[in-house]
Amino acid sequence: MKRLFAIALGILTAIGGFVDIGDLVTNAQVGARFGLSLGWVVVVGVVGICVFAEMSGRIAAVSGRATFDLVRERLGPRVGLLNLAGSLAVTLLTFIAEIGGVALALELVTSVHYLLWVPLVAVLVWLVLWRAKFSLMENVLGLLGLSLIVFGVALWQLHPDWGHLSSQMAAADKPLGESWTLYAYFAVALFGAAMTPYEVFFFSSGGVEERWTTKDISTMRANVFIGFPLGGLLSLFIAAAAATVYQPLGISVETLGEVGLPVAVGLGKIGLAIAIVGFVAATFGAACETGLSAGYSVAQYVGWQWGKYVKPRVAGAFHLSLVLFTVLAAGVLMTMVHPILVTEFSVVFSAVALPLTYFPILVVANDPDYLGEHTNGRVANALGTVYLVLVGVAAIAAIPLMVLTKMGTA
Amino acid sequence: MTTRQQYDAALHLLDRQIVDVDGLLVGNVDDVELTEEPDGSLVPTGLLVGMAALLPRLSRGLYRRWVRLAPANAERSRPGVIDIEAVAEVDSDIRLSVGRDQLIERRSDPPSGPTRHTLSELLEMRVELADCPGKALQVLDVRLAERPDARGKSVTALLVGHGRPGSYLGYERAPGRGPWLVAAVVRWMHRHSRFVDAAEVEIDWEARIVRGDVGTTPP
Repeated sequence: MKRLFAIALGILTAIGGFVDIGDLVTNAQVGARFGLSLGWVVVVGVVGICVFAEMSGRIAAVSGRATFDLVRERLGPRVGLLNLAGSLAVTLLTFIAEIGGVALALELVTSVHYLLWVPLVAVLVWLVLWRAKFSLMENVLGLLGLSLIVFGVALWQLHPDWGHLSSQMAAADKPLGESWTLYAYFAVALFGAAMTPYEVFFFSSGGVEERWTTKDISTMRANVFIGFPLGGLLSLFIAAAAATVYQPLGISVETLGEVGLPVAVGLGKIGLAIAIVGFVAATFGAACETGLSAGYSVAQYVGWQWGKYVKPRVAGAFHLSLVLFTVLAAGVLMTMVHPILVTEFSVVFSAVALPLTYFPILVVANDPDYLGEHTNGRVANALGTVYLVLVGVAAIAAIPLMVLTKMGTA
Repeated sequence: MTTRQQYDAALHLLDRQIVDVDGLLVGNVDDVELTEEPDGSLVPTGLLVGMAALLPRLSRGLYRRWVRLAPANAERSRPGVIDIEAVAEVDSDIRLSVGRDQLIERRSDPPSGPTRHTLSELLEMRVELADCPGKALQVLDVRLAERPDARGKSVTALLVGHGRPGSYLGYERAPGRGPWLVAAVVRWMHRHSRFVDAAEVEIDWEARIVRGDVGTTPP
């Protein structure tokens, strides 16, 4: 019974933890512009993150190695450093955006300008990283993040043309008036957001911190294979709600308030309030995850003692890096750069970080020196290879598409 | 020092996490110290850690600049060492038999002391083999195996070929390992790679050239 509860809790937190500020805004933007015609990308991305999160979780459970250990062990210090620079940039840009996202959500409730919330949110995030228990952070924020399901309820109450939505998703055809380059740019951006490397850094390092063993592999798989897809479904709800309300009117989504507005249309004030609770919890949770992931990747590259479970005086350098990252994030936000715009630049760095993160995971997942009898089976290898190629294609296409479409504004 | 009979220094030692007897993390293996025995064999005697070991592997120029920033500081040109005696097990991490506090020290050998080299000096060294003249081969990995007199490990063979050390990714050790596409690409890139017996090569540390006769291809 206790085990079942642990599995259920893991799944629920995986759902809530899957969605961050980038997912919220990008899905709503894409939904408003393209309807569900890019929905297939979310599905493809979710399968991809499941494949590699399972591998990295299995490696963590059997060998106790977190993902960035593998990156340096298999790619060497030079290429490993290139990956560290790329993935640290992605993770820190996301970290900045999440803190900004929490502040923006609080602005929605209080009408107090988000810049005033930023220092407070930054201090709160740091306090949670420093003092709060890992399980408490995951469970409370993950469960509260589940209130984003209100987007599903709102969608149902909006009485959309289900046939139209599903045919859009199945046909994967762009709407009239949008160019194929723009369609491809958003496809790459959505794919990169779904497969963002901090998820495997956090997932595998969390597994090492919780001292997973081979016995935990089945629980870990349940979390991945049920939790992540349901999180992806949440993303689709957000896109579909935006598509239903905004696409017929030709309105584009720019702010967090506009992301939540379809819920207000469908369910009124109460719905909106629940959605905002979901925004705060999901972005705050993601802020903690990205902050820790940045610290994990640096510490694992250098070999420092790391771990949220480890006391600051035992893992001094790691905890100091968390302080510095938080100060940096708050500092960047105080320059009045737009928090949501920040995530769009992460596409560039994803092009470097994604292939250099998933390749070593795939190689080590086949290495009996690490995994003994738990090496990849045929399905994992077939999917892993396909996704490695896909990630490579997306990485090569990302920067030219970004230039051609002027970051999706052309 | 370990349960494993033989392993490859670049693949199994370099860049691995060092863990102390209490499970605390010490650092990563940034380089490996190799000491020349009187009989000419090379013996791993220490794990090198810290910037003075890592930076030369990242970029020689960067390392020289970093040393020049504090010319009086000898620690910048002498990396910290963890003696190989302290290593209890080489697995996916390197487990020590001692605690981490005050563990890393600097060598202070007398002038007549042993001749010491590092693994990174040996890696990427040019290799001239009599049976494949004209090919630009270099040292990719160093195989360590138990010595006959059971006095620890010594270098028994060199893996030579094209590309970067470690880029064989362990595929030379296991013929059937997947995924198929990655294995095929790695094997194709390393189609000229071969093992040469350490006893049959001459290592010129000054000119950075290894000379030998023949090599055997991996399985």
